[in-house]
Amino acid sequence: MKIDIDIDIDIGNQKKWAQDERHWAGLMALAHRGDKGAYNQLLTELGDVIYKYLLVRFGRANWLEDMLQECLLAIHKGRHSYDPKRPFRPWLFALVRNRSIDFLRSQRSSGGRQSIDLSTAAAEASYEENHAVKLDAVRLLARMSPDDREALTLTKYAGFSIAEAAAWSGISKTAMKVRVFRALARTRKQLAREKIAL
Amino acid sequence: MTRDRDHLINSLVAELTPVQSPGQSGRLAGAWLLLAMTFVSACLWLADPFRPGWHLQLATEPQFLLENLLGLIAIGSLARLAFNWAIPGYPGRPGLTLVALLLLGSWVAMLAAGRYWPALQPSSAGARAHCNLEVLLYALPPLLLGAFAMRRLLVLEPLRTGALLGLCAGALPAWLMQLACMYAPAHALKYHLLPILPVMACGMVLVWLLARRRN
Repeated sequence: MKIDIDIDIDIGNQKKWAQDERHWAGLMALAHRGDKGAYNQLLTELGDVIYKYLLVRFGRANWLEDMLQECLLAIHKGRHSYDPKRPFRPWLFALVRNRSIDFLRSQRSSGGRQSIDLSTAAAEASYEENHAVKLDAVRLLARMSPDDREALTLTKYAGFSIAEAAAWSGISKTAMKVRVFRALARTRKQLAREKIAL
Repeated sequence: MTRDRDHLINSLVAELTPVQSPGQSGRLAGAWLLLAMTFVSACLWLADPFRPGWHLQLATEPQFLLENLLGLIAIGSLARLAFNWAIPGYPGRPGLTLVALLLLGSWVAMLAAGRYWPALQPSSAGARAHCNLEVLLYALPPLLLGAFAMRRLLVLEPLRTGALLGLCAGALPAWLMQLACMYAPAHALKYHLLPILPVMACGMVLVWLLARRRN
C-alpha cells in the first residue's frame, strides 16, 4: 500500500513532466510560424518556471527579476535554435544556465557597491532558505522511529557508507540497506502528505 | 508576474517574426563533412597526385584499412559532436563525446603503434614536399565553412565547440594525407597530425569571436 502511493505520485509527476514537455514544444513550434498568442502563452508559462528555477538556486535576491528577464530575452533571441522534434527542457535550461552565468559575471565585473549589495542580498536569502531547510530536516528526523533516524543520520548526514553504518549499528549490510530504503520511502510519503495538506 | 515582466513579454511578442528551426545536427554535420572532404581531396589531388597504389593498399592490407576506417569514423563523430555543441540542449549525451574521443585516441594510438608494427612497409614513395603546410592550409576553408554554418545556430560553449570543429577540420586533411603522402608512422605523427593543434586553436578563436559578435 505504501509503495503503491509512492509509485502513484511518481507516475503523476512523470505524466505532468511529459505533458509540459509536449505543450511547450508545441507552443514553440507555433511561435516559429509566427503565432503571437502561442508565443505569449509560452513566455508567460516559462517566466514562472524559470523564476522558480532561479529562486531555488539564488534565493530571493533583489536582482532575480532582472536575471529572469535576461533569460526571457535569451529565449527570444535564440528561439530559432530550438528544433521542435527535440526535447524542450534541455534546450530551455541550457539557455537559462548560460544566461544566468553571464548575468552574474556582468554583475561581478561591474563591481563596486552594487556587487556588495547583491552578495549581501543573496547571502541573506540563502541563509533564510538554508535555515528553513535545516529546520525542516530536524522536524522530519524528530518524527522518525529511532531505527530510521539512526540509519538516515549515519548514511545521509554523517556520510558513512552502508558497510560502516551497518558495523556501527551492529546489523548486516543488507539490513542497513533495507532500513535506509524504508526510511527514505516513509520520509517521501510524509513530505507528499504535507504538500497535499498545504 | 511583475509589470516589468509583463511589459517585456508583450514587447517580445510584438516583435515576433517567423523563423526556421535549425534542422538536425547530424544532417548538418554530414553535409559539412561531405563538402569539406570533397574540397580537401580536390586540393590535394590538384596539388600533387595521391600516393601510387593507395587504393590497392587499402584493399589488400587489413591493418591499413582498419587504421583509415577508424580515422574516418573518428572524424565523423567529431563533426557530429561539434555541431551538437552548436545547438543548446543537444550535447546532453556524454556517451557520444566519450565515443568520439575514444575513436580519435584509438586512431592516433594505431598510428603511434605503427612505428613498431607498421600497417605497410614504410617508404618515401609519394612524399610531398610541404605536407605539414598543406594540412594547415587545406584545413582552414573547412574550418571557415563550419564556423559559417554554425553562425545560424546558437553556440553557448564557443571554446569547446571551436576546439571540436578545429580538431575535425584539421584531422580531415591529416587523414587524407595517409593516402596522399608517403607512408611512415613517425612522419605521419609529426607532419600530418601535429598541425591539427594550431587548426584547433584557430577554431577556438574563430568560434569564440563569432559567438561574441552574436551576443
